[in-house]
Formats: sequence, structure tokens, C-alpha cells
Amino acid sequence: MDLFTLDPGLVIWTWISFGILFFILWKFVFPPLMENLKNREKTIAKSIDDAAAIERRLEEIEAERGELLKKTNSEADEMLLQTRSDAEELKKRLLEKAEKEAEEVLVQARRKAEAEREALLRALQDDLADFVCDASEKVIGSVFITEKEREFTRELVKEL
Amino acid sequence: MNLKRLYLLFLIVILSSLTVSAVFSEEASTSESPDVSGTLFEHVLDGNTLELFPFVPEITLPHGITMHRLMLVLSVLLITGFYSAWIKRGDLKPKTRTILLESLVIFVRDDIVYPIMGEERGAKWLPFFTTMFLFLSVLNLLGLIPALKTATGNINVTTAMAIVVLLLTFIAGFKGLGFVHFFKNLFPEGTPLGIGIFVMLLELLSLFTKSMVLSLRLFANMFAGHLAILSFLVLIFVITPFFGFISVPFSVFTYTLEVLVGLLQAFVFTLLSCIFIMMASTPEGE
Repeated sequence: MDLFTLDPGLVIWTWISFGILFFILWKFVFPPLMENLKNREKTIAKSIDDAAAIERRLEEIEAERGELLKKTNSEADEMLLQTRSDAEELKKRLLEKAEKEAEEVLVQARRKAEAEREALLRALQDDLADFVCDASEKVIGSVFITEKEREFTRELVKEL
Repeated sequence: MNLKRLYLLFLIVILSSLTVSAVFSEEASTSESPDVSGTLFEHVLDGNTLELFPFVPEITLPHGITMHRLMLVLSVLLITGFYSAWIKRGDLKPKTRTILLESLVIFVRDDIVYPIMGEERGAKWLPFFTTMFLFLSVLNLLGLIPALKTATGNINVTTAMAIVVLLLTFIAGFKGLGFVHFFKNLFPEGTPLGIGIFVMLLELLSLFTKSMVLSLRLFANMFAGHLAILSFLVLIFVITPFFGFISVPFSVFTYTLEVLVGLLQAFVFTLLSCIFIMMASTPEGE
């Protein structure tokens, strides 16, 4: 067989093969294939749009979150400041109250001590006057000191 | 790792050269005088014997079936088989194999048909050009499989394809422009009648030559490529078996190149067919 031998049979075989292949592909393969491609392109385009929308929404949510976080932070700061100032005030008030109470207790104690001291002094003076009178009676012997003299002695002791 | 690869390559080269020389020696011993070009052409030209493995008796094909005819049938079976099996309607999440098949169609659509014909017109022509691209690619690549032959290395096959393109060029031209306008379209405007008719005849002739060139280009590329691979291997037999160390790497390189050339020629054939059909059916100046 030569390189350039004319072979009409092979030409016809080529046409028939090509024709059959074209018919099968055109009739049975292309419709589903093109439909798949179209559907897939549509789906991909929709997915890309959806993804873009989701991204946009995400950005919005992110911005909202940031704003909310900022607001919450400032509120928390404010609350903290308020609490701190309240606590300071409370502390101050309590301190003042405690100081006042302590002072009152001190004054009362002082007053009580004074009164007790007065009472004690008075009792001591009475006792001392009685003692002086009793001692004088014993020195003098039988001479009794009158109530008037006893009172006078007491006055003297008080003046000491 | 690299040393292992080198060793493997070395082994492949030695084994291939030994096998090749053994095959050729056997063939030479059967004939009285070694006919190198005869042996070469026997492997490329059409025949009715199928030699699957060396040293195994060849299979004689039934009457009327030749290797190139068998390749035509095989390519139709392969393409329809793979496409019918792997393309399923409503497949929104395709597997890699389906994507591979689809990508060939998308390639023809986006790189050949739509840029030349536009979307509306291209959609009608897409099945035809895709079939042409797939048919030619498979025919070109089948020849690279040992024991098989390249049907596109036969001028009858490529001419048959070119005749299809030529006929479609005329049909599309008559349909798109009308019978009279088709020939009027070949007449350059504003030229004297004599020159115009001459140019028109030349243009008409060019329609035929373009198709013939289309056929010859594909045939020559495929034929020469396969012959180049074999020529390198034949040198082992002609010169010395040790020439395998040079021949085998060279033929492997040419083989790799042929894969590219096979796809490229199918692409070129389809692209030019598309351009010719579009040119013939579009009014001049558009």
C-alpha cells in the first residue's frame, strides 16, 4: 500500500464514522452536557451572589457587633465609674457616721467618767468629813459633835 | 531518589533498545534483504494485520476491515462510550473524569467556536466542531499507542474530513448569504470587471485549496511525527544495538512531542474549519 493510494472505501468509512459520532453526540450527549453546564454556571453565579450577600451581611453584623461592643464598653465604664463614686460616697458617709458615733461615744464616756468622778469625789469628801468628825470625837473624848458642826466640817473638806 | 530514577531510566533504555533490535532482527531475518523504509512504512501505512506484541503471531483482520478503518470505529466507540457513561443529566457535582470530558467541550466552545462565530450562531455549530475536535484528537492520539495506527496519517481520512468542511463552507455560505450573494461576496468591490472576475475565480479556488491544505497539514504532521519516532528506533537496527542509548531518549522525546502535536493539529483543524465556514457565510467587511 502506497502513501497516496486513493481509498474511496476509507473516505466513506470516515464519513460514516464521523456522521455516527456526530449524531450520537448531538442527539444524546450534548443536550444533558450543555444543560449541566448551564445549570452549573447558574448555580455557581447564584452561589457567588449568595456568598457576596452573606459577606455583606457579615460585614454589617460585624459593624453592629463593633458598635454594640463599643456601647457596652462605654456603659460598663460608666457603670464602673458610677459604682466607684457610689462606693466612695458610701465609704465617706460611713466614715463620717462612724466618726460621729465614735465622738458621741467618747463624749458620753467622758461625761460618764466626769459624773462618776464627781460622785466619787463627793463620796470621798463625805467620807473624809465623817472621818475628820469621827477622829475629832475620839480626840476630844466624850464631847459629841453636833450635826451643824458636822455639816460645817463637810464644807471645809469641800473647800480643800 | 534521583539515583533510583536514573537507574530506572537506564534500565528502560537498555530493555527498549534490546526489544527493538530483537523485533527488527526478527523482521529482517524473515525477508532476504533488510528493507528499512519498507519496515518503517509498514508500521505507519494502512494494513489488515494487527500486531499486538512482538514475537506473538499477528492477527489478520476480517476482509474489508483495515487498521485505519478499525481506528475510526475504535475512536467512535471510545468517544461515545466515555461521554455516554460519564455525562449524566443533572450532575451538579461532577467527578474529575466528567470535568475532564466537559472541559474539552468548554475548550472548543470558549476558545474556538464562540470567539469566532459569536454565542448565538456558535451554539448551533458547537456540536459539530466539538465532534470534529474529539474525533481528530482521539484518532491522532490512538496512533501513539503501540500496536495501533494513526488513521489521520492516511490522506484519505484527512481528505474526507476536509471535504466535509468544504461542503459545509458552501452550504453555510449559500444559507447565510444566498446563492448569488455568496459569489458576489467573492468579487472585490470597486475593481474593474476583468480583474474582479479573475480575483473571484482565485477566491473560489482558494476555498478548495484551503480545505486541501487543511487535509495535507493534518496528514503530514501525523505521518511525519510517527515516522520520526520509528526512524529513531530503526537506527538501532541500522547502526548498532548500542545506539539505543541515543535513539530511545530521542524517540521518547519525539513521542512526548507527538502527544502535543496530535492535540494541537486537532485544534488547528477545528479552528481553521470554523474560520473558513464563518468567513464564507459572513458578508465582506463585517
